[in-house]
Amino acid sequence: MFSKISLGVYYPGHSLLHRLQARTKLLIIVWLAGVVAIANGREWHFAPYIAVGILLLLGIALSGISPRTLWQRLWLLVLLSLLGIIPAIFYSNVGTKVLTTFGPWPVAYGTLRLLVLIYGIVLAIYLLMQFLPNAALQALRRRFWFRLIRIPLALLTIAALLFLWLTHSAASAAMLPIGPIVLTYDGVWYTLAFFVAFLSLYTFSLLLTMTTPPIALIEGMTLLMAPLRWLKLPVDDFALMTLIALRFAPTLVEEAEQLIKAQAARGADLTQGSIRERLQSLMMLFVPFIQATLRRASDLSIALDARGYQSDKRQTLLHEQVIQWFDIVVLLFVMLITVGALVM
Amino acid sequence: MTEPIIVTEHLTHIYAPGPQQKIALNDINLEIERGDCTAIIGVTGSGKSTLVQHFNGLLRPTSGRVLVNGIDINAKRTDLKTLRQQVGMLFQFPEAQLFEHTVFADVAFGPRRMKLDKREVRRRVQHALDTVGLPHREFAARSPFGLSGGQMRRVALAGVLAMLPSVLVLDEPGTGLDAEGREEFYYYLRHIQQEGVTIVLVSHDMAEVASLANWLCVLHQGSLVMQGSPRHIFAQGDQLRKWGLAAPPLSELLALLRQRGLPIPEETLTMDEAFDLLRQGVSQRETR
Repeated sequence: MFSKISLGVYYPGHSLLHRLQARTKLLIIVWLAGVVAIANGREWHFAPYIAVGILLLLGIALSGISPRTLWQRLWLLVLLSLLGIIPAIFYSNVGTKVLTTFGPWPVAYGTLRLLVLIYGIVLAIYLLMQFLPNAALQALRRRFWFRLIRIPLALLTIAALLFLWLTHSAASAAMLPIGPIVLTYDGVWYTLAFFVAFLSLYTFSLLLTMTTPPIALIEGMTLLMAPLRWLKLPVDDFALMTLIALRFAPTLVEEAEQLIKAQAARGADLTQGSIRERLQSLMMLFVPFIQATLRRASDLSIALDARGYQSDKRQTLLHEQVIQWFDIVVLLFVMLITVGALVM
Repeated sequence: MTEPIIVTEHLTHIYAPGPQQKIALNDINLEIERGDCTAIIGVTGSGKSTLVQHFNGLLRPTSGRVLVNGIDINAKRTDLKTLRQQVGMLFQFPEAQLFEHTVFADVAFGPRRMKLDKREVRRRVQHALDTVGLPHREFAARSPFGLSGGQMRRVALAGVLAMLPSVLVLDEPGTGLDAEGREEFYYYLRHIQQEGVTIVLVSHDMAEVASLANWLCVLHQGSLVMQGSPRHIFAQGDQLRKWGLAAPPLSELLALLRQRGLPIPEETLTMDEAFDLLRQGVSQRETR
């Protein structure tokens, strides 16, 4: 059951993006975030966004990851943000320069009531249909997506009935004004710019994690945070903690899986039984699991001690190497293009 | 002869179907006789743990069938809870699954879940503890976490036994125990077998199971490559080595002697038999 959770999204490869040092990639993302933030302030100035878009396409092309794989990880977010952008545009009434207005549309209560009534009846029929003694319809009832939407559908039906009950006293000729909806230049720009910035930065970080082994990523971060050592911040300890967490996550998942199976074999079942039984089933997973994790942690600390690990000394790194010429070339290229676009 | 208690027919299991699929079991056909002690042997990754997890429905076959007591585990009506009560399973390092304050409560978990009345639960727990050599008067009220490793493992075993399974599946029961603890554990297993429980052992070590099992199944890369009585299997030392396994030291020794020209039958298994044979050989030479 846990095999579906992908803990690392790293795709092994030898593309240009894979060969860049993690530091370089991190720096580029921080830089681009800055660029996008600045670009957001200048309205209707598209050049920086075009530059970021070109860099994004270049990055995808050079990563050796098929656009389809990338899209599989992106589509849900794109869809959700598209759904979010529509109300956001209408409600961000910043600024005064009006782009366009919609409405107001006067709607008669009678029409509205009729629509809601039809809608409520259709939903109710749809919901009741599954209880007919028809095999095909009953099969529908067992479908996953149907079970998923069943409760919202029932709530909508009840809401429609409530609406009818509450408004039945209003005269059907009375008008319910909808709108006017005002679109301002500022509102549209900010929403769109934010949307584009958010999606492109997300895609960049996706490219980063897909082309960088997790350990190299942490090492890159440690190197970038090295200046913080001057402030006596425990950079190396942080790196060690993160690395250990990354290293042990799959092991612990495996252990939990094994434990779930072992307890299931003894009759523990989280999905059945009274609340008390379920709580007990949960306990019999947590108690041994936490015990095993603590024991593992204490073993690990002894192993670290035994090998003479000292957290206050500099550690050597496994993946990160000296910055190479093409790291600098890529960094300069990105900076030049974006600064150029900003100034333009 | 009675029908076998566990039958697999063309059992295939594939992890993560799709582009990165891994065939864990490939067309396994085997039968486990009622009351036997069968050992499933193979190196790490040969699919032995995957195979036994089908026996109580923790995993479902990708294709093929598994019948336990004539019931298909993959059928929709099959009650997994009853099946898991019938086929008790003990995983590797079972002492890690103990969680209650007292030995009694931990062993009682399974029977309580079976909705038995209190007196029956107590009777079963006491009997199970006695069977694994932890007299209930002495151990029932103690905390399982204060026991030795071998004792904790036997508490876990009692937890499964208290559900009165007709089959007991043990995954690498000997790992992590010292020789004494292991001997003790097997001693109680033999008792359990005498009470009529079918035992399935999973192991990578032939010597470990040699004293207990009367039927061996050898798995290699997900396929059942050999099965037979220990005598038959241990005689094939060279073949076993190819699969990363080793026959028990005694069989290896006899094979070496055979190479040197001593007339030792292939079927020699126990120390006593070998001893008798060698003594006969010596006395024959002396009389000559």
